[in-house]
Amino acid sequence: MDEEYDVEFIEREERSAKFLVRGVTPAFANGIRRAMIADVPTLAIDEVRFIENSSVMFDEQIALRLGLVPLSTPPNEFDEDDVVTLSLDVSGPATAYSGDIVSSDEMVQPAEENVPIIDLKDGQRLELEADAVLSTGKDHAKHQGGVSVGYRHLQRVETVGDRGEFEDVDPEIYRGVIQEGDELVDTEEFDHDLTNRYPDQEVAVEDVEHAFVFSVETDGSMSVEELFTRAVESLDARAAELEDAVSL
Amino acid sequence: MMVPVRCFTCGNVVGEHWEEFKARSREGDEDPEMVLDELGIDRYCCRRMLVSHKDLVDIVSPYQ
Amino acid sequence: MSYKCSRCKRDVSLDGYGGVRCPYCGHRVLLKERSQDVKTVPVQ
Repeated sequence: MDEEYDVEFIEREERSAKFLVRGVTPAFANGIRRAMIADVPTLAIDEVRFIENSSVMFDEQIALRLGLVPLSTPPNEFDEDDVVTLSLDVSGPATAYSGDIVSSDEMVQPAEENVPIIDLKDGQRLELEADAVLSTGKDHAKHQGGVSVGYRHLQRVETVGDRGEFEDVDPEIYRGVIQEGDELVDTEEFDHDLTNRYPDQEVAVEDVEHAFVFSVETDGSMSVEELFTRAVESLDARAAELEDAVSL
Repeated sequence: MMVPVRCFTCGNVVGEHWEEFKARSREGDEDPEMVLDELGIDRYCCRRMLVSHKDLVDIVSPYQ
Repeated sequence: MSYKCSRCKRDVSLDGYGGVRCPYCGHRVLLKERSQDVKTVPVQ
């Protein structure tokens, strides 16, 4: 791997981003992808104490729904065995939403306010206390910060000549990002079909060595930048641990 | 019973969009495809979570 | 153990001698009430 690698954003939103990383090996790119899915810890509800539940769903079902609600996880504030207590108290007729969850810690809030937990009818009530803990996606999918994390090779497209005038044109589908000279173009711009962009020309497509286009989405517990840097940190920490373990 | 909080396949949070989706496409007369596009639910795994869902709380609650 | 009669909705407590029957209306279907204890459920 090169000593330096650079990152270039192609698309950047609050919870999703597409970016190009140059100067990494396929093994390292895959390591980052796997770390984003399984090794970045996030907070999620792990234990629920039901004080009252007269709704139509069982305690276990409601506990599972609460566990899946993403909680905002500030970086470097919590350790693996810290516990954040949250509570929920809703009386029917009403719908209990994730936004009704009251947190004991200001930094930890439901990332999504409008997830319905349970619809309560007249006279029904839900009152509970819950403990959120920090853990990784390896442990349970509710702790998985990265949702639909993937990468593709950056592809270089060059024109190599004219297409025959009466030739049959088959679609040439590429999904991801292509490089034309020095310019990066998202294949969405031409509906993923190179024959739309080069109607009369023959093109040659090849993978650009050590250049990967990541597309990352998060569940809202942290930003894409944070998820990515923490994934790299976790890889770094494990590499250091291995080095430590094998050195005499 | 209630909408799943997350997509079974990819883990994206979809529950938050259910009420708007229901109001516009089930109770309203908009095309579900257009509503899902506008809500930003792009993948077909997440789309099927809302398209195939039916609320059962109102049906079940009289039998408590 | 506290129960509730499914017909007259009154609270019933069983003593083991009278059999399963509501002492107020004679109905034989009783519903068990949820315990007042706080129930701890692990999320999995």
